[in-house]
Amino acid sequence: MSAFSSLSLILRRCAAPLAVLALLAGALAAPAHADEAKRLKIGVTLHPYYSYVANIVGDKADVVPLIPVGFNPHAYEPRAEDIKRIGTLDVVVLNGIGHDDFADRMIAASEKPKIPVIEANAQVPLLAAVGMAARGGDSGKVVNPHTFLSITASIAQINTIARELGRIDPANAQAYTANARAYGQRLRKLRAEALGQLAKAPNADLRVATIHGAYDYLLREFGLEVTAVVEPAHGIEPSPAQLKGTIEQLRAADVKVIFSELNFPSSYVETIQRETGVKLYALSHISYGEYSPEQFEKEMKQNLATVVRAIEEAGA
Amino acid sequence: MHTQVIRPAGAGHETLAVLGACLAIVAAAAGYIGLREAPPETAALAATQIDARRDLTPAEQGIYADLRVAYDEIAFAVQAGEPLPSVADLAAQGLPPFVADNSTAARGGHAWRLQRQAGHAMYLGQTADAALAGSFLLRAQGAGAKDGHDHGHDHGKAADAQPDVWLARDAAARVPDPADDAALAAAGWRQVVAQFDAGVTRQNKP
Repeated sequence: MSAFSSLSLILRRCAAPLAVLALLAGALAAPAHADEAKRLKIGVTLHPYYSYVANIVGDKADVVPLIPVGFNPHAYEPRAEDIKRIGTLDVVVLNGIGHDDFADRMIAASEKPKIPVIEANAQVPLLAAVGMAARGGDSGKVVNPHTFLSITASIAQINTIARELGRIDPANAQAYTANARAYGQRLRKLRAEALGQLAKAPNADLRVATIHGAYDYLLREFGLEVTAVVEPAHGIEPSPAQLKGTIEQLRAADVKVIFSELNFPSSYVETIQRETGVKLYALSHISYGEYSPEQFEKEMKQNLATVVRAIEEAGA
Repeated sequence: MHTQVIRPAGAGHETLAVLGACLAIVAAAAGYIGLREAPPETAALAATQIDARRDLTPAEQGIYADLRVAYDEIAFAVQAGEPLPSVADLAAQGLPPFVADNSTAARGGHAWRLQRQAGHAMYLGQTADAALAGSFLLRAQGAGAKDGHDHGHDHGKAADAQPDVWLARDAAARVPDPADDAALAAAGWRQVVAQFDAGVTRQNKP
């Protein structure tokens, strides 16, 4: 018998006990695996919601963005692989008031058309959409979906999400509530710090315009009202005629400050600034880049600082 | 002699027939749409209520949104077995509108106090500038604090209910005792109601 054949014999004799051992090990490992499987997988549609849910659940659940990094939620069209991913989720958190309408279609087409959804805005007093976003409807029929660009409306959503997640996952309900309160406290601190930097209260007469109807909720926190929204269409380079109309509108409204958006085409912004003489300040829509738990706090802090700077420089 | 009148070539009657058919189709479609018209989704408000989206000033909308978040915190505290927080407690937590900051004056400069009567507790914010925003009243019963000791027997549910917020545009409006719905309405207060009828842009509405 050659050395090779005796080795193969030994291996064959050992194979059966080894297989039994492997099975036993697998059986022992199974409970741990099942425990892991119980972790909720929570789908989110927009960047701020990733930050909200990641802060609420901590290490107790997984947060899965429905839209991959690099897609603009304003112009997103569902792709097959993104729809497929919904089949692996336990619940989806929705903005639900106009900023993630694509999610409905994705869920309906997915393997889990009856997946539970959390309407994050259910407890937020909504503002009416203005300008083109109102789609010609009567006042308040279409609402402004940008509740995620405000501290107060964000905390209201965080509380709602935590409450609903607690119902789905009662074992972790207390942790979710505690995390939500701590997160809300941190967000309130951001707002307090920003207001603390103002030398005096903003003048309620300060006329403000925005180049995307996204910042009404944020400016309400400072007691400011948006006088005009001058965006021709979101994220689309305006035509010269539209630009002319925008400039005329700004002049007629006698605005002192314009809030633009970080990702807007700069030539457009520069032209408006040159022609109207009104200073533009860029705010973040918090809808781009990598998903991260810190993103909302980081970009909101910048937004608050920008609004404070605008109010100070306008001398209001 | 046989005379045969031959009309000039023309399609007048055909045009009329086509136009008639078009009109019939449009009329049928209009009738169908008219019959299937969906009723307006917004629930009608009572005379003693006002709509948070349509009827409030910007400053009032800001305060109302803050009050709802503060209500969550009050409910959390009460459910945790703590007594009803005072205005100073809420301000110490940095909770607007109870904390006086640089937005307070721009939103009406309200002075807040916790008022108790006949076992009921309520937070009253008296406006300093009724043109910017009226006075607010947040009744705390919904937070499970009817008498300040009735703690959290109804976890979750209390927070689901809409906070009970009232508004008076008249700076001289007083809080009646007892401050029940009818007495408040008679004293010029209106209940603020927010409706989650969003999603006109969605196919599958919540």
